[in-house]
Amino acid sequence: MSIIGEVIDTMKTLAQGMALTLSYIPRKKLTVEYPDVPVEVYPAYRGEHYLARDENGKERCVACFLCSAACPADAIYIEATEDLRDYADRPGMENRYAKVYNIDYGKCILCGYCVEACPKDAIKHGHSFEMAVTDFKDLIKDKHYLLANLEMEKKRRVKVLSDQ
Amino acid sequence: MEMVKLTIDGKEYEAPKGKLLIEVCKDHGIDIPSFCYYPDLTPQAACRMCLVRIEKMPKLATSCTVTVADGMVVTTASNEILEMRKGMLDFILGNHPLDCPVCDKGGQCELQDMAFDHGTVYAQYAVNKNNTGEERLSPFIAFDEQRCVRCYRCIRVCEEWMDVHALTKIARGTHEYIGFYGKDLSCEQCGNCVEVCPVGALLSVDSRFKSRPWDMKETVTTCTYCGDGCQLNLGVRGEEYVRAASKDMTGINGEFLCIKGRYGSAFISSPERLKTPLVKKNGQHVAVSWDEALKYTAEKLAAVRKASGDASLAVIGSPRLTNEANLTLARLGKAFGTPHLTHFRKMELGDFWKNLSAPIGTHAEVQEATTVLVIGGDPTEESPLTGYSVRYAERKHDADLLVVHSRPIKIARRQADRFLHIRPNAESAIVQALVDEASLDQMAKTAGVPAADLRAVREAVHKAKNLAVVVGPQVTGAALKALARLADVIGKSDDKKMCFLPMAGYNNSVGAFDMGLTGNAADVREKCGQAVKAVYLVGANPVEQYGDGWKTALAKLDFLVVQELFLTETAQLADVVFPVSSYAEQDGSFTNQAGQVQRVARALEGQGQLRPDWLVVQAIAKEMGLNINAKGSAAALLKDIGTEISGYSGVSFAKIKESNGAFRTSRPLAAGTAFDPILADLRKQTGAIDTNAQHDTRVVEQGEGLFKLGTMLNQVPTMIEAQPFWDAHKGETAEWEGEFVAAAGD
Repeated sequence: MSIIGEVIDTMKTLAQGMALTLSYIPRKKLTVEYPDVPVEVYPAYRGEHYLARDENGKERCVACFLCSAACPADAIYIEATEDLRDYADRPGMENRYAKVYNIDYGKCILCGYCVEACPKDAIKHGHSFEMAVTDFKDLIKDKHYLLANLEMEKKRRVKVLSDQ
Repeated sequence: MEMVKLTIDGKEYEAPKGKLLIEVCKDHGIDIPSFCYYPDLTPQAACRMCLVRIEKMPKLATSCTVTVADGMVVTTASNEILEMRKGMLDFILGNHPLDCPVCDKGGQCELQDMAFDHGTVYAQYAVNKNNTGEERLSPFIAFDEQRCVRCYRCIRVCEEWMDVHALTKIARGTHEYIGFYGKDLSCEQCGNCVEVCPVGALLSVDSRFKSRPWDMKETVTTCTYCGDGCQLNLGVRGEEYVRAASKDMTGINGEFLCIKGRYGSAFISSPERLKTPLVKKNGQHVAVSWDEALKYTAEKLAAVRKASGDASLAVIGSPRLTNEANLTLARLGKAFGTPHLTHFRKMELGDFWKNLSAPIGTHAEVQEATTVLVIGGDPTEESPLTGYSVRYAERKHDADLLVVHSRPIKIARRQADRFLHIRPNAESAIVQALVDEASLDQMAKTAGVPAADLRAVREAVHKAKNLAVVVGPQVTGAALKALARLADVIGKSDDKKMCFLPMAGYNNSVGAFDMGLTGNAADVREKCGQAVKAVYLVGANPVEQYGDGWKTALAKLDFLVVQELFLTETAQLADVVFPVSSYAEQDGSFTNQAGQVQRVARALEGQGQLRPDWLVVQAIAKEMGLNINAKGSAAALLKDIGTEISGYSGVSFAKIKESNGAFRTSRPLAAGTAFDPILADLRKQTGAIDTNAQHDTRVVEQGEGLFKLGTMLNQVPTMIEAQPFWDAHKGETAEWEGEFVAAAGD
């Protein structure tokens, strides 16, 4: 092939490539400008867990150990205890409640089995995915963190799409 | 035994006549659901889950009450029966709250399993549930009325196994609940009602909410309290003790446990446990490394030995230790060349073994006996499984029960056919009357019992077809030797069976003797500071147990080494204290008072720098340059026991497993040595009895022995918390059984 043929060929390929590139400019952008713009997730997205409270603010968890039994990664550690006071005075919905409730996100695979196993609807998946830490031990989230997680989520850079 | 033929579900089976239909079905792998049926308890037919169709019977019949008969045709599974089971479960669940998540029984609940297998999803009727809360019946037992399925297992266990009669049913119909007499549950707190409860109605307080069954590692081991050697399951979660239970029914005790077995093991996770070796420097214990402590001890012991000779060292073992630990201690003592090789004990078993004329019986053999003689000792308070076995013989085939004791013990008040209420310390007089008829009338006077009663007891013992003699620690000296010869005196024949069961006191009393720690402990105390300059003391607290005599004696020593779990009064005096593993943290074996070698298995690691007793002893010997044939594991040491100790021939962990968890040791019977010298000694002993002594009529209180705290129980939180409860109940026993006691004390 002559040198002129090669130049023409190169120009053609270049034009083709540029045509594709330029064609994307008017289209809708897929890139999310995270962290300036929140990420959109669907309602069933399995993010970082939270521990729910009942309508009076009492902890729903009764420390029945079913979530830790269901956990395939053995990520949940619970210690149960009891508070024999009346409903108004005690922290939990029932006499039995969790003294320690830890989820180790170094192990958790966010499969959702714990949520399915829970008979009291106490553990739920939130939508937060910002779980990166700079120290391994910070991967273990305790009860107070998980109880506050639903509130905390509102401050996080995630937007939950509606069911429709 | 007569066999009958019957048809179950179209298949022909043969079964012994008179057996319960449900048992025959279970034997052949046909599953019949049931709540109230429980092996060994009287049939109740309360839950009606076990209904089956038997031909020619107008209605469905409860298979837990029907005994098999020839030609019976039974259907155990049909639509009719399945529908009926669903209906019955519906009724049972009528009042049952759906609170499985907070119920401690969840995961091992028979009702959960039953509802899974046979139940419906929705109730067929809607009524309001009786809404009642949970209550604490005692510091050990909690009761949730709503969960109860009214199977009455607890009531029957309390009445039949324990003869305590603390529980009863109150009210009728759907409002019926399990209650108790008095203001709270005053009983032996054995927790057997909790064990047999199929649901979460009765629960243990001490292991409350600590774990779930699937979350625990359970290890079968042998109890560390009395000489009965009950098998138990130690449940451990992570590195923490959770509970003890007897679940698999395969051990010598079945599902039976006492308060100490069930609630007495929490000391293994006590924060008070010793964690590092301690060496006394300027009068203060200082934590040091193992290397330093071992080296220091070895140097000191060697120095004392060099200065004052072999006999200046004393080795004191303990009936609490494993066989392996006691064997290494005996080896250490022999390597020292000291005659002071001993352990603390309640009973001189050596005398007993040497004169043994009939074999040592197991608990199962005591249960089969037709005549039981209990002489000295209180089985109910000191050896609960022995007590259970004696009561079993009485309950199942109305055995002739003869009790000799200086105080009205419970078994004498409630079960005994004949009770000889003797003067204090007059057991030897009864023994003499048994072996020497000529002196019977005089001995009756000496012991302060009616001669006619004593003669009746003598006759019953001599004529017995199957005799079990339960010997307590009050029988001492020549009386113990003479009693051991009883079978020779009665005369042996093929149609007569006889066995002994000594109530030796501690979990490994028999083993400590067999391993060779046979010296006299009181002798060592006398010589402390004079002939004896250094003592190596393991697993005992003589200062607390045997009084200040030991405190002054041990203070006179040049050097005292103690191996302990806790810093006890004795350990506080020691120059060196080694922290050792408890029974739950090491492998090994115990020999119970029935002569059975049973496994001790490691259930958890333990916190701190713990070492098993035998390992420490071997390390000391190594530092001192002594060869005591050291071994690297408990299994290897047990093999040595199998070759060195007579009666233990061939014992190993595998052999123990093969023999269903209890390897039976053999003991040679005394070969016709002269009886006259023993009799002469016995006459001297009975001659010394104070015949003016008053009878001790104080009733043995419920819990007098069971609730007493020692080194280990002192570290169990629930036991400590229960003290006010027990104090509040002191003196009630006599009040309840007043009339009965007055009659027996005459």
